[in-house]
Parts: sequence; structure tokens; C-alpha cells
Amino acid sequence: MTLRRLSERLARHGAPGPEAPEPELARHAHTGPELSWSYTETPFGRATVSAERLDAGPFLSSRRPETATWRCHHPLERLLGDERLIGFRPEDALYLDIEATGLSHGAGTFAFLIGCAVVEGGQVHVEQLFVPDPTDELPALSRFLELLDARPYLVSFNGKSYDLSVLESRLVITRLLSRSEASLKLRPHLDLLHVSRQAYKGVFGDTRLQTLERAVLGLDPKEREDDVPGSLVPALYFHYLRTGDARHLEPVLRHNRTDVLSMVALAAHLVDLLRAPCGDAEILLNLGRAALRRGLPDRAARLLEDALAAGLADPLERLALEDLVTAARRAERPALHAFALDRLIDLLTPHEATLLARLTRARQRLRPGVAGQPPSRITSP
Amino acid sequence: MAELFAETPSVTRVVGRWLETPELAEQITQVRRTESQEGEYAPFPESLNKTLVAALRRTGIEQLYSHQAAAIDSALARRHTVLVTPTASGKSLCFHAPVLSDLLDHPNGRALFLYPTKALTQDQYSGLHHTIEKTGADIRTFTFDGDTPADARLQVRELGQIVLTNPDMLHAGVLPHHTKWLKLFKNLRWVVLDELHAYTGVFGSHLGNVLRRLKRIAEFHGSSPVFIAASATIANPKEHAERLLEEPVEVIDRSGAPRGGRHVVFVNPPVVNRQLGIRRSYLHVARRFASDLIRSGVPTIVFVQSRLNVELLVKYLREDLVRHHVDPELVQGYRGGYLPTHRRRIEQGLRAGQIHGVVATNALELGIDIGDLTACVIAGYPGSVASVWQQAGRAGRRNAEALAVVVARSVALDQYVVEHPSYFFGQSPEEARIDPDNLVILIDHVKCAAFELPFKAGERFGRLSVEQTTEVLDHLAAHRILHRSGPHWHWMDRSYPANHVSLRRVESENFTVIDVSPGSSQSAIGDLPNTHAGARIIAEVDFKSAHTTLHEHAIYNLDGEQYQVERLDYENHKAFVRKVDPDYFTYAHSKLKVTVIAEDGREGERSFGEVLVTEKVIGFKKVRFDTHENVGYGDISLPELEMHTTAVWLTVPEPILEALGRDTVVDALRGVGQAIHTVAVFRLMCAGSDLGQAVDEPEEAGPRLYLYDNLPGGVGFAERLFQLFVPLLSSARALITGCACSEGCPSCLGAARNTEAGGKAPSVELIDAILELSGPRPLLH
Repeated sequence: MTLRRLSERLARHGAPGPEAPEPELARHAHTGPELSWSYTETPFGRATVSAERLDAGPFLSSRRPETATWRCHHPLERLLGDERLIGFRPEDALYLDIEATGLSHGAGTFAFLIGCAVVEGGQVHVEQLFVPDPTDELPALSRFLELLDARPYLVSFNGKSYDLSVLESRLVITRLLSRSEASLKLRPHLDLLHVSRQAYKGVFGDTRLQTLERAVLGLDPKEREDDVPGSLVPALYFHYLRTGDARHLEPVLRHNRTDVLSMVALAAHLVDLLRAPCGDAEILLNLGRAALRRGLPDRAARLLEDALAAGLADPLERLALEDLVTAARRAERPALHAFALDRLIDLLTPHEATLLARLTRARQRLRPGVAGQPPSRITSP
Repeated sequence: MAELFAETPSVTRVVGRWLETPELAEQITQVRRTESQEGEYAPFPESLNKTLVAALRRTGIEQLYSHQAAAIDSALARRHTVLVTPTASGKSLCFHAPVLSDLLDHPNGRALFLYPTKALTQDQYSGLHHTIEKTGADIRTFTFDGDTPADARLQVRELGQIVLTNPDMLHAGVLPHHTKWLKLFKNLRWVVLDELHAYTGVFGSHLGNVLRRLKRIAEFHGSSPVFIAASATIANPKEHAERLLEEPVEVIDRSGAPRGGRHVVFVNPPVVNRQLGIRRSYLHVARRFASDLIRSGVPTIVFVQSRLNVELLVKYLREDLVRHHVDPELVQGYRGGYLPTHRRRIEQGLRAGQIHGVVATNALELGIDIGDLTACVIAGYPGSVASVWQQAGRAGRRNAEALAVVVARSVALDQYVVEHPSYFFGQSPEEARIDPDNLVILIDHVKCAAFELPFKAGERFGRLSVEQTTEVLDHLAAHRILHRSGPHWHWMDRSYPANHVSLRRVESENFTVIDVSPGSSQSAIGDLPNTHAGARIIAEVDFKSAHTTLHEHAIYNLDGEQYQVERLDYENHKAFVRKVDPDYFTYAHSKLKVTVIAEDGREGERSFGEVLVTEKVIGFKKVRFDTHENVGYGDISLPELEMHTTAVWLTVPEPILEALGRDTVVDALRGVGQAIHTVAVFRLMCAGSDLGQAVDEPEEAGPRLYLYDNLPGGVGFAERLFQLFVPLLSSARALITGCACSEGCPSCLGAARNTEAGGKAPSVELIDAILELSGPRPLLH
């Protein structure tokens, strides 16, 4: 088909593709006062910012009662296998969460809101960088790089596979990263989703940030009452671009702010938990199993002992004992090894004759002098 | 078994035996032997890297064929180069050598190799890898396709100096992520397009746009690659390449490679009813020849036209093997719709020699080197001379005497070819045609391009003018797909546009076929997950074909098994089938209506322009296996398919209506339509299904014959046919008068006529009357 009378033909062909239905915007309309923006100068023009300072106390002092009997060294870096996280302190990080125009991280998806937070002088500084028009992306990205460069660590929730991919891609397109080719992904980065999966898998149903907020941090669900579903976020921004009407964006900003603040609290909580593991038996079990996978049998043995001491019900108890057998053997703790074998053998059903034989042989191979005495810290049920 | 295949008998002896068997000899209309040809040689060009030359010498290459030297020279001078030489003429070296030479000189340089299919990419990788190993250089080469594991992708992006992929992956997996492929796009020095002739019609029109996007992205990152393309013989390689690449190209089309001899045998199934021109089923005849070859121990590939026929022929050939006490598993089917693991298994079986006969659709046509096949049976003319040579080239790649058997169907095009062998053996008159400016395709790619990089005011997309580009962008902005902000158009949709654009056809919403037979999860077809207890996805069918193959009560064929469609969930694109063992298969009928929307040109009684084609599938026939007799009929109730496209149409004027009588004219026109469709398809090098044909009686005018591009928006066939119309009418007349039948048969006038209407005469008279009006009669060939 030739391109003559293009406009006529375009008109005949109608809509050029599947159009997203107009979302139910009204439900998310903001009825309060207009959003207030401030502006920060950058080498590429002024960035549009919503800034706020809050007392850091409530976020950092979700610290847990010190019931742990021992402390781990370098827990984060060992758990994640990432040496760059040695010496991580929640106060040294930039917390990051973006709202973007799509869920894919192809080149055309960009962050229209870059939510950042830092902890400084007993306060949490929240700075949300907004892109009021696609042509204003450069100052927002530039301001983000300034904030990032001022902190040695980056904290995100699933940022490794999403937020950073989107930002990095846009840094290339805006040519902010073209010369250095330095990757954002090379920076020391604590992805809280990865830690949460290790610690909380199977404990609260899922490990989404909003689940953990409620279950771990005790956030009042009311805080999320008028929350925007993530799938609606791009449509709300597009609506704003078309109409200039920012009322519908207010809940998006609030959603983003809550996410960033939850990340500050969650990071503090997780660092404490990992340094001084205590509390819920299932979490200790998760951590013990993760330590075993990471080749840390000593730590795994201690965590699994703690988990058993805190009391585990049947399928989990058996899981813990199986891993404890391996951990104790590798950690060369024969007494504990013998104890774990004895208890595991007790749990076997009559159908598991082969396993019984194998475990019994393993038990007999241990030095005869080793009694299957429970170590002092484990109390038999 | 081992003795049977211990020695491959000479194909010359097999052909000799056929000619001595009266039953077979009477069906053979033509035996030609293409002569072997001496090679022409040239030394290694001076510009070629010395390490590479040394490596090539180590593999035993002391000098080059003349065309190889010319291609290397041209490419290393950084000219876009197109190579047009036969199968097995050492084409790969023509792009391997300049690219490797250049990458040895520029270690940061990158190259992208595109192959039309994934299987071909995998296959070509090993050859390239082998050459690189010989150079001893560390040129890291990877394939990148849908099967590349996620953790390997990073490595390919970062380290791959040569990346082998396919247009679909470039379109959906590379360009939209160009920011992750920085090293490739900053240093892209070469783009290689193998099998250029495969990029015709819709696929080619899409690829033209993908290349526009590729060049746009390369320019953004500061590179400007040189293109090297290789093609089988087509009439217009320069025009086609320049339309696709939108760059001036140097064409090298004189092969210096020596060639082995090849017997080409044309077979026309015998006429069983001269009155109606009905011939014996070509599938049975192909089965007879293929079965003889396979049982004689000649490794054979059989090409058929459709998936259905793959299944039928596999079933028939296996029955023959069982009857002769040979393992039926020696014959395997191979076609699109099989799951990838299943296809890989067959490819391995072919290479390892555990499979001796393969029945394939043209998925295998492109240059996959599947091993030492000696003979090729082409059941049904595949639509172009180039395709025949490509398919024939699958057998006998190693310089030995080879054999190709072409079995004609009773359809007109096949009969035309089999009765006019000079066309086939003469210079190919076929043209590759694409239209990257097809509006539907163009708009899809402008969307993808805007996702990849915002458009700037004053920018041109490909060869579009600034005004045309702006018009398309404003249209998309008006539909809220793009957002105009100052001098830029930005992508403004949450979707990922490449996922909604399939390069292989215009629509992309496939139907899935779900087997609900008890125990179907144990079926050996592949490893897709179960959808629910006992049910399993066994195949995918494209949107349009679903209407004719997945209607309720249809028999769906897969891997020699028959399934009956129990329920079609049209909304959700799912067909639920159950395994059955019927003695029939089904064949669906549809009704066409064409409405003219805008006339863009007129000359005398013929016009071209935009039309709306409405197709409704109305019913189906049940056809018995083996005898192919009609054993039943059923209705189909499915939504109409609508398509905007371009058409050329002929309106029979009043004087002719009066002279011949309206009813006679309408019936004669149906016959003319069939004949002209046949010669047009041959002339345009398109598949018969790429061109639609309909006869209509609009209220406001005389009866009309339409020929239309059978895809939304068209690819430019109609406009070309408008120019060619008079010579095509003459060719159609020659086809009708030259046909062996007496009264007009499906091969010349088609089956849609009222047979009472009096043979060929009215159609010939009608053509003469129209040609009379059109003035002196030019000849097509």
C-alpha cells in the first residue's frame, strides 16, 4: 500500500493497537490540597522534587528485644554471597523505589517517579524526584545520580531485576552513562527481596513488601487503605500527561513514599535479625538452611539448633533435623551429629526402612564414645 | 536392516528402473540432468587478514571460487554486498571471511548474523565456529534465540563479538533492550543476512522495518554497519535487497563453484477422468516414488505443502514400510507446530542416520544441512522456481549425483509448470516483492521504534519523508500510544509493543490445541505442562487457519494421529480435542465478499485500490482417507473474518455482457479468475495463498473479478498486477487453451464453475473480448 493519502488510510485503519481501557480514575482521585513541589538545580535544568524530613526513631528502633544468645559476623554478605556488603550500616544507604511507565524493562519504560530516602542526623530524608514531562527526565536522573554518589550503599526491594534495570537503561538513552559505561549494578546493593526470601520463605504466605510491612514491621494496614494497585500506576501517569491534572497522582506518590519508608525499617530489622538471630522458629530454620547452602556449617548448626529449641512442628522439624545432620557432620560436631541422627531416626515411619538403615549405619560410624546426649541448649519436647 | 542401507544405489540406476517400469514411466513427463560445471578460481584478496588466510589454508582451502573473492573484496571495501549463487556454492565463506578478517583487525568490532529460522541459526553456528577455531583467534561467537538460557544472555550481550540470531529475536529480544546491548550497538560493523530470498511478502516487509529500527539504534550508539546478504536465485536481487536494506548494494551473481550433476524428474499423475480433467492424487504418486526410494536405500526427503499432508504422507509411508517388514520409525514427519524438543530429536536422528526418510513442510527448506540425503521428492510445486532449487538442494549437497522428483498436483499452477518445463529450466522470471510501507506493518514498527527511542521532530523513519513520518507519529499520538512533548514523541503505553507484533504474519493471536483424551499426558509429543488433569497442549494454530482447521467436529491431524475437535472456545483461543480413529478427514469451505473502498487507479475496465474482503467459513466436507471420496457435510458457525487490503479488479463492460449473455459471462469469469490467479502467482513468486481471487456481481456495475493481496494492508501485489494485467490475460488464455483437458478442468478453469456452462470456449471468448478492448496484445514472456 502506498503512502498516498496517508491520513485517510490511517483514519480507516482506526485505532493502531490494543488500547488500555481508561482506568477507574475517580476512585483514586485526591480530594486534599494540591501537591507541593520544590525544585533542585542540576547541570541539566531543575529537578521537580517532593521533599520531607521525618524522625528516624520509629523506623530504626523497630529493633528487636535482645533475646539472641549469640551474634553473627558479616551475616549479610555471607548470606547473599556479596562481599561488597561487608560493613553495611542502614545509615549509609540510599533507599530507592521507582514508579515507572511499564512493567517490562525494555528501553521505552522510564521512571516518572524516583523515590529516594537517606538517614541522616536522626532523621529520614525522603526525596521523591518527579518527571512532570518526558522531556524532564534528564534533571531527575541527574539528581538521582547525585544522591546515589553521596552514599556507599544502595537498598531496594527487587531493584536488582527491576528498578536498576529501568534506570540504567534510561541513563544510556539520556546519555548520562554513555561515556563511563559504568554499571549501576556494580554498586554495593542490598536487595531486600533477596534477603526476605531467604529469611521469610513460607512463613507469611508471600514475601511482598506489603505483606512484610504488616507481618514483620507491624505497619497498620490503614496506611495502605487507599493504595493504588501497581498495574494502574502507568495509566494514572499517562492520564496526567494528557490532561495536566495531577490529582490522580497523589496516591501514587503516597504509595511510593510508604514503600521507601518501609524499606528503611525493613533493612534495619533484617540487619538486626541476621546479626543476632532470635525469635520465630521458622525464620531461624530458613536462615539455618540458607547458611548451609552457602557453605557455613557452623552457623547453620547453631541456627538449626535454635530453630529446634524454639519448637518446630512435624514436617519442619524433620527438615531441620535432616539439615542439622549435614551441618553437624560438616562442622565436625560429633555430639550434635549423633543427637540429630538419633532424633531423626525416632521420627522415621515404618515405611522408610532404607533410610533407617542408612542413618543407623551413619550413627554407628560415629565414635562409640559419643553419646547421643542433647546439647545443653536443646530441650527435648 | 543394516544390509538394506549398507550401500546407496546410484540414483541414475533408480531413475533408469523407473523409466523401464511402464506404470511409472507414463507419469514421468520430463527427465533432465543439470550438467556438472567446472570451477572458476581466484587467489585470496590482498585485503584479507593474513592470519585468516593461513587458517583457511590449514583447512585445505588454497584458493577461492571467483565469486567468493569478488564478494570478499567488495565487503572489505565496506560496500553493502549481495551474493546470488546456487545452493552449495560456498556461500557462507563469502561472509565469514570478510567479517572474521575485519574482526581480527578490529578486535572491538561486532557482527550480527541473521538467519530466517532458529534451526538454521543453530546449524550455521557450528560451521562458523569451526572456521574461527582454525584461526586460533578468540572471536567469541554465540547464538541468541528464545532457547538461550537467561543466565547465558548476559554473557552473549557482553562478550559476543559475533551474535547469530533470527529476525524475530532481533525484533522482540534485542532492539527493545538495546541499552543492554551497548557493546554490540556501539561497535556494530557487520550485519549478515543469509537466505535473503526468504524475506518476501509479509515476512520481508516486516524485516525491512526491523532493519530500519536496527539502523536507527546503531546510529544512536554511533555505529554504521555494512550489510552482506546471500540469496538463492531470484529475478530481482538488486531491487529486492535495496528495498529491504534501503542502501545501494553491489550484486555478485556469477558463481565460480563447480557443480555435481542432478537429475530432475517431473511427474504428472495420470488423468483418470479426461472429461473433468481429474488426475490421480499427487500424494499417492509422491508416496509411490518416495516409498520406492526409501526401500531402495536412498536417503530421501519429501517436501509437501501443508501440515495435513505431512501427517497423511507419514501415515502412508509407514504403512508401506510395515508391509515390507521395515521399521516404520525410519520415516519421520517434520513441520511447524511440533514442539522444539521433538524437532531437535528428528534433526539429530537425520544427522546420525537413524532416520532415512523425512516428510517435511518448508520449515526444512532453508539451508539446513541435515546430512547425506541423496534424493528429494517435492510433492506439489512449492510456488516458486527458487523454492524448487532450494528444496532440491537439500539432497546431494556433497557434489555427488543427486535426484529431485517434482510431483505436480492437479492445481493449475502445478500443471502450468509441469506442462511448460522451459519456464522452470530457463532463466527464473520470479521476483521477490516486499512493501515495508504497508501501513499496518509500518505502524506496528513505528510503535516499536518509539519504544526503543523517542522520535525527534524532523526525523525520517526509513525512506519515509519527514512529513509522512510526522503523520504516522501524530496518528499514534492521537490514539494515545505516543505522547508529543515539544520536539519529541515518547512511547506512552504500559505494554511492550514488540510482544504484540509477529513478523511472520499480521495477526498474532494463535489458538492452542488441547488434548483432553484420557491418558494424553503420557503422549510422546513433547514436554509442555499439563493444563489440567489429563489434558495437555499439543499444538498451536494461527488465527486464520483456526477457522478452517479447528471448527467443531473438525479432524485435526498431528504426527500421524487424528483428533476430533469437541469444543472450540473462540473467545479464549482454545480448541479441545480428543484422539479418534476416523476413516476420514475434514475440509472446510468459505464464502468471500469483496467491497471496494477506494479506487486508486483505473485504466479501461480495470482498476486498483483499497477493498474490504469479508470471509465466512460456512461448512465442511468429510473426505475418506485413501479414496478421498466425500462422505458427509457439516455447518460451521464462526465469526466473519474481515480484512482491509489492496486489490486489482476487472469489471466486464456492458457491450460484452450483451454480446455473451450475463450468466455466461459470470461463469466464464470464474474460470478466467482461476487461470489468471495461476499465472499471476507464478509471475509474482508468491504462495498461492498470498493472492486471493473472487468473482462478484456488484449492484452498480457489471460482474467483477478481483485479485487481492491476501493479508491486511497488502504488500503491493495488486498494484503490480494492475501494470501486468494485459500480458497476464494473454498468459491465462495460453494456459486455458494449452491445457490437456477437453472441457475445462480444475487445472485451468478451476472447480468453482458451473460445469453445464459449456467448456473452455466462453472463458477464451471473454478474454479475447477484453483484450480487444485493451488494444494490441503484448506478450508476457
